[in-house]
Amino acid sequence: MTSIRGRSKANAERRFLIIIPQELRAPLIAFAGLFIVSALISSNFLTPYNQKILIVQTAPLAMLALGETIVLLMGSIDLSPGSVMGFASLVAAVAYVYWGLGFELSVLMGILAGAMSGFLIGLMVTKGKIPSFVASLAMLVGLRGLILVGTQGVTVSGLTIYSDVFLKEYVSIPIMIYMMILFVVFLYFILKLTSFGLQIYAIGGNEEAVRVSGINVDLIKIIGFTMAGFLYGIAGIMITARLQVAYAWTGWGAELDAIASCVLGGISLAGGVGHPVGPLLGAYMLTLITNIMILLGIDPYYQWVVKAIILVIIAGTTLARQLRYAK
Amino acid sequence: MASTTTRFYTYIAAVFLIGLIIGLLVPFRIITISQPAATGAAGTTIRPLKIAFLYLFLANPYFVIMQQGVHQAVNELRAKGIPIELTELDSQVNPSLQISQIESLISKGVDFILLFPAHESVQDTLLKAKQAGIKIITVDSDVPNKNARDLFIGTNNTEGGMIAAQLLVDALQKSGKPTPWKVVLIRGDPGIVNIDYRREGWYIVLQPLINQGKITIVTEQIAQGTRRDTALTVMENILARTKDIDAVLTINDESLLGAYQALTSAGLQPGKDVILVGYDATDDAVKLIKEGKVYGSLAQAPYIEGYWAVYAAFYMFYFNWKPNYPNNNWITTPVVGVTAENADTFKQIVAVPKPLPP
Repeated sequence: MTSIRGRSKANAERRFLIIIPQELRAPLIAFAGLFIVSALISSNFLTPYNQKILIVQTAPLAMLALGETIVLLMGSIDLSPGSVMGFASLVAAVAYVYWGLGFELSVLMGILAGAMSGFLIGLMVTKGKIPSFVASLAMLVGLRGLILVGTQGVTVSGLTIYSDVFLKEYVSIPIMIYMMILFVVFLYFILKLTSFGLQIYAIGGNEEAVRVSGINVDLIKIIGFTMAGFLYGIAGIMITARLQVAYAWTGWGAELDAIASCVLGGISLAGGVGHPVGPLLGAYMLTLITNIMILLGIDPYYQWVVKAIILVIIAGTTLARQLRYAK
Repeated sequence: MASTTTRFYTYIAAVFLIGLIIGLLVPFRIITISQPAATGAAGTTIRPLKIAFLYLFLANPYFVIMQQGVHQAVNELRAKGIPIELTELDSQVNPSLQISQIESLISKGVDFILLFPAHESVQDTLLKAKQAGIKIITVDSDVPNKNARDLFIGTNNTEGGMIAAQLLVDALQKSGKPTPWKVVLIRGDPGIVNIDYRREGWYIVLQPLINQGKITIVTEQIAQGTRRDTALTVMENILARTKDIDAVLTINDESLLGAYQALTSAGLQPGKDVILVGYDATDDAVKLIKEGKVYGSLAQAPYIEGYWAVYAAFYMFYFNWKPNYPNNNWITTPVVGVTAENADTFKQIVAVPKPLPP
């Protein structure tokens, strides 16, 4: 325990010496490159409207990616973000529209439903000794099933209050974006400046060693998964604010986007390596690719191919450099 | 002696518990109890008609309405004493899942498979089912090989697309906007036949106008999965490129609602600045049509499709009916263009039980 604390202090000192952390440099280079190229090739890219929609489109995905980051840093994987997001948005919507709970309470219920799903995955992984891939796959399928049973495919509407609250603008930036930034800062604090965060990194690095050193790894893992679920819940609320309805398709296939955002943001799939701000950059880049292709008016059939090429280029930039520092 | 009594009570309790569990499962349709064969007037038992219905995706309201039509027909027939065993499956837009579902239905032994083909690749499995003596009715969407099915009940999507495009052109003419009209097209994933036919219908109407220079297509984009959230993102991105748009034509109403959302948040007034036309006439879209924010949509008749499919199976099974319709045995279901004028009345055409056309 003491040795870990000592390393933390050393890390902190090093961090203050270099302004941009090493693990964030490659994603930042990729991000800056993509941004500059986009600005050069399309005159519509830098317009305030476009920048605003880009960041608003990024927000829910960024929350998913942040949650996924915690799980990936622990050396596990989570396939459930999309379903948990859909489930949370639905619980909140049903609580508000059908159960007549107040707005704040229903939003809270939605987020708690997300946290609860994460908690369950944590229990399955630690106490049930089920690999996280399978446990979260079960959650992916099971929650989607619950959503379908609950909605019978019907859309829950009458949720304009969501966009009134979360898309309300201060200094022409929607509240949702402030929330996103707040959570990124919060996660940065948790993961980089607390012993809990260090333990998460350590579990991803060498779980056995952490166990032997007497840390309650199971507890940390359960908290980690619950936090991830909590963040997916927030994403669910954000997506409802954007759509003003909750429906069964929400978050379908979003898990791969979340994982891709993490990888583009320099989070190692093997665990233990990565910076909490990375996934935000990754999510932004992923959203940007779709945006720029439509701005340029690329034929929809070619968009798939172009997207693939850009993805490979970014991944090449972020991952090849990062590997020197990975274990 | 005491132990025997205890064992007896345990036994009773266990039986009770099992009964309770089964009793609980039945209402949730986890277990289905087949109805006993009804007895005809002459005292002979009517052989039960075993139907399996494979929906494309029950999370889509469209198929929920189709299911209501199926249930209506089945209940009507059951009320008349016809023993129908209905198995319902959800193919979840997954061709390989649908193929394995059909294969298990072949081994289960049903008389009819009624399905929305998830993809043309299921037709080989349908041929296998036909060899096993099962009759096939495709509903709403057809397979290319017409020998793989006995009957097709569905909309003429090309015609539907033409009506939708015509609605858009009418609205543009009424609005008095200067030509060339700038139109955005939002379509669905390529390779889904219905969507391709709709698009074909669009272009039959729009192409002459494009050639005359009356319409320019600003862009044509794909909203993946024809979903509200993907359409929202796509429309936002289009608006980032240009806000000089006169009209948006979308492949279905879910995409329409996504586009609507993007237009309003960009500060444009749908219905005034931008004319919107969708497809499917879902409740949400019809509401906006009544408010004058969306010009029109197109009502198909999933209810009637489901309803007719069951009746067709019923006639074919008990009365040896051999349907003979034009265009490779295709019963076309009604399509209605919905605008503010008929937004309250169109359901009388598409959502009430109707007898099969001759």
